[in-house]
Amino acid sequence: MDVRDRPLDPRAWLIWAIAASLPPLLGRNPWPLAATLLAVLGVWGVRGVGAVGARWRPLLRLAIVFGVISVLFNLLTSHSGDIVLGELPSTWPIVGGTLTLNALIYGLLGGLAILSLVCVSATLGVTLDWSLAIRLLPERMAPLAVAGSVAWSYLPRTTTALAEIREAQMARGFRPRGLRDAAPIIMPLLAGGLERALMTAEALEARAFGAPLSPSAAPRPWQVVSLTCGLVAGLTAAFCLALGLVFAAGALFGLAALALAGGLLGGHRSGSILRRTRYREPIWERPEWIITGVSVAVLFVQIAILMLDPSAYRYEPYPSLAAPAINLPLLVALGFLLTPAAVRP
Amino acid sequence: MIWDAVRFWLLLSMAVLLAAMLLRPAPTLADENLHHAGLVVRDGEGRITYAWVPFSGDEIDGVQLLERSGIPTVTVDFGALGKGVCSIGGQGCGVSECRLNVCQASAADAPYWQYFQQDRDDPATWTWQVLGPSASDVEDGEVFGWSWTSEDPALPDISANQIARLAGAGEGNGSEPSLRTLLPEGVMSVTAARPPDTRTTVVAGFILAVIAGFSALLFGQRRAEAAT
Repeated sequence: MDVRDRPLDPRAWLIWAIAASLPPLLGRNPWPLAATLLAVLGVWGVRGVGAVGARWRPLLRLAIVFGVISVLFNLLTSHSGDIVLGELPSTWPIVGGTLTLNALIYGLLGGLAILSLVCVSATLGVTLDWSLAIRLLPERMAPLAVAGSVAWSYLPRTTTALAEIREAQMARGFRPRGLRDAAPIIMPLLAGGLERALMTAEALEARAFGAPLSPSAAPRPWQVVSLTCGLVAGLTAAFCLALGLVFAAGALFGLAALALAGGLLGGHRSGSILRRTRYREPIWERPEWIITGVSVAVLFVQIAILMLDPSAYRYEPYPSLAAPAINLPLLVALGFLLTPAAVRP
Repeated sequence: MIWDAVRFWLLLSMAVLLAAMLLRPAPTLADENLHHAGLVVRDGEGRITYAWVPFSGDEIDGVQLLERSGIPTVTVDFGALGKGVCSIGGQGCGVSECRLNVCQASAADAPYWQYFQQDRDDPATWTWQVLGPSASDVEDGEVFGWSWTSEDPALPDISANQIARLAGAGEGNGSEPSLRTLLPEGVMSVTAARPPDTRTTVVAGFILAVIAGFSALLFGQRRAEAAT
């Protein structure tokens, strides 16, 4: 990332990520998948330049590997379709039967959806300022957020440690040839990881992290129930949205918002005992307004098209191969996901 | 050295298997050993498809009967539980939704593909097969049915011989499957969705090219700034 760029407010990035994640979650129509992937790769290409982006490239390579596995898995296990490529003996369990081009294409589209979602996550990982994101959470969720951000930061550190251990072992004349030679690398990696975790835990405990709350600051039972109901309603709403039950999803999202607000705001008075001070307020300026506004507009367009024309997202190459439906307004809207690449703070 | 030999042997075996799989001719049915079974499919609009399916061997399962009938079918594998039928003749749902709920909507009376066996002695009696098609054994002369329903299958009261004739298989001794769909009054045959026209496809391709072009342009600008 260019040092002249200040980090954008994480709320803007999170709304953008939600808008970018919707097409691969809703279906496998190749047109919106391709448009989303091109836009996300554009943002990644602009924001992921340098060492920061290089740390996330192994994750992208892993996503490609999983995509290939998805293609092979679908080709071998799904025997539906009208264009036959070959045939395995039907007496073979699971993989026995015809191998069809339809199954191959379905696997490819699944791999494309996985790659799109991983690209969105990698872009978030590069661009999101995690310290700013933690400060946005309600005070009562701060310990959970700190634990999550510490765990998240261990991923690139583990990758670096693995490279260092391999170099050190190779300097001692060790040449790994296969899985059987993994022990001299895995053991130091585990030992180093545990040592780092213990040191981090001691440092956090010295700062009273995880100390028990005073009874007056403890959450009331109805708050806990309200928060739990809100989270369950939110997850169920996301599931309904993925199934195309838009009205049910809308009702459940509303219920989730009410329950979460009740649970969080109801503890406001007791939470004031834990009030944190801020050295610097988050910056919300024109770039954040532009990115958030465009992402919300794209999100609304996607939901409207989902209600009016679900085939714009869905495509199945079964039982016969046919051209997928095209929704031009949706493709145009998805192009606007490139906005974060064009906007500079 | 030994592991290299093992790896080479594995690669060679896979290559031979792949070649055998792709190059072997399709198996044909020998007329003198053929058995036959009937299949009746009723969709939600009342269209009834009759199929007469030949098979060699003593028995096949219900999924094989459906797949060999020639009716466009989409199934998903549930491992040891067998296969689930997602779509028959275009009615049903896609693979993704099928894996979640076997195409049954959330309402208690929502229809889905149900599997029945006709009683040999009483063609009017259709018995619901609880365990599904993978667990059913289809023998010579038996008739099975599929109905897109939540309760009454509404499958016809006709014998196996009549099914063979309605399917266009004559006396029912052929080596190829036969099928025919009868439409109730006022119901059209199932038509596939119209593909997008050329102009729409070209415009969609242009939109993708514009997105890719802008991505490349912004990426190039960023690389130039990072280099300076």
